[in-house]
Amino acid sequence: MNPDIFVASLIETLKSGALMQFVGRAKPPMDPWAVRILNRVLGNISPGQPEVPIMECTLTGPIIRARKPAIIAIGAPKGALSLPLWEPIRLAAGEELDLRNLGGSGRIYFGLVRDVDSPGNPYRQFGKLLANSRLRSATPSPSELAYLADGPPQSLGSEMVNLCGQTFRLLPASDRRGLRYKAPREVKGGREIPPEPMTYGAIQLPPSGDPVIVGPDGPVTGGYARIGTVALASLRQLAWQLPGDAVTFTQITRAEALRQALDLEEALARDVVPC
Amino acid sequence: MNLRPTKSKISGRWVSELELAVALDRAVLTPNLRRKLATSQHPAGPATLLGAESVHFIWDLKQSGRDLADNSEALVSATLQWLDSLLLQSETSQTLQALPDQGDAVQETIIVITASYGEAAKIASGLRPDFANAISRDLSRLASLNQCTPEEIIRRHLATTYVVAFCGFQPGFAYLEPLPGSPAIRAPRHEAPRAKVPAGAVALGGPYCGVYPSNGPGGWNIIGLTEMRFLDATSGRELWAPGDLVRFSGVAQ
Repeated sequence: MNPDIFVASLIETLKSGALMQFVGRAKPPMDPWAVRILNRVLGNISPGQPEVPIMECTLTGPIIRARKPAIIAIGAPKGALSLPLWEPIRLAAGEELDLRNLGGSGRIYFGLVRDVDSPGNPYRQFGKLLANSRLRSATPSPSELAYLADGPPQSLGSEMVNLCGQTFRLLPASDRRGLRYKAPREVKGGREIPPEPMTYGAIQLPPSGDPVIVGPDGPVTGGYARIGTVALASLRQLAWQLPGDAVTFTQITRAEALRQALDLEEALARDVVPC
Repeated sequence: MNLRPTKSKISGRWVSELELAVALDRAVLTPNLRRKLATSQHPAGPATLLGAESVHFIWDLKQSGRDLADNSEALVSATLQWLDSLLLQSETSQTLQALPDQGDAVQETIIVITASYGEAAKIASGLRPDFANAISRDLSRLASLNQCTPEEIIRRHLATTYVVAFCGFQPGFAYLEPLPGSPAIRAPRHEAPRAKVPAGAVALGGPYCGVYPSNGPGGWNIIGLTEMRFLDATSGRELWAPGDLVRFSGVAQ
């Protein structure tokens, strides 16, 4: 079923968030793990099937009211909302949830279970993310992004660009296409390079010297010098950032970054326990 | 870190946990090879992405993460060997095509884009003042950079056969590269991109030509306007692919 119709059959939106959209199937989420955790919490997984779309809200969320008994789960960084996170919440018919204030987080995610008031799927297993799971990410700011430094791009001569030890600020002109940061001091800008493939997390250095991290809706090729890539395990922090937030970078080896990403994969299988 | 398969000229470098970049000479990336890279997939599973002078291989964390952690070198070596075999095939087929009277020569289809240029493009745009200004400025800029007339810029463009080098930037956008031997046009990108370039604008940027698929920012030099689009609205599929040949037809005024 069209996710819009499905959600509209369960809840009505009393006040809409400015930027709400379904992610997880056609559109990649800013936080690659939020969608997968919430679908496991809600029992929305069947073998071989793609992820069920989850709502991604940017800067502010909606006020919603359940049309009939519903089960919702919310994903957000620690302390963002005074509601239980990463576990099913039962809503009685007519009950309202105010998700407008994201408490300092740039985004939240929420998903729903379809067949609550019918016998539904007898195999549906609800889950709950363990309180001490590493998948419960820390507060959004100041955030420390681990990144893999690329070799010196031709366009920058032989110098490596080191992002460590400085504080960058997320600029308001940031969205799902690209996260733009203000460099703390003059950083030598990169020149153009022959366009090369770009993926979510690539760190580009345009001529201005202010780095841009390519977002999930970003261009698939880019002509600015690529100086590094945000580690997979750090990508979700990009989702939580707000304009003005302070960001620092630490370098990480590829082997270590891969190990951390695989740890998160294992945590996903282990830390969502039946409830 | 450089990783080489034995007896090969190519090597890869990791740009992320899952993404291996292989730099290739532009001359090596023939239309044939680009087509092959865009349509075939290595059995070991990484997705292939094409750049101007590079190919990137991207593995899936869920499927191959564990393998990459334990057995990275074997996966890299298998992938580079596969790329090597494509390179070799491509070299061989080029040699064959260069021979005269080759009966089984590949029949190339050429995509012809009808466009209007210069003054005709201004009229086609409905005399939109921002577009008319942009096209006048960009054509004079190119004329002065190339020490010729605006008409000569359009003549050279119309005399060029392009190949779809790779797709990117926006859905439906292709980087069109002139085939070797085409008339040269120097067309450096603007320092700062224009905030609004209309859909259908035909533009030159660096060594490439392109057609803007939708309204949006753009830093290339605008020379014309076409009504043709290269993205199927319902399926989201692009109507051209790397390796396709493209020519423009139109009236220069």
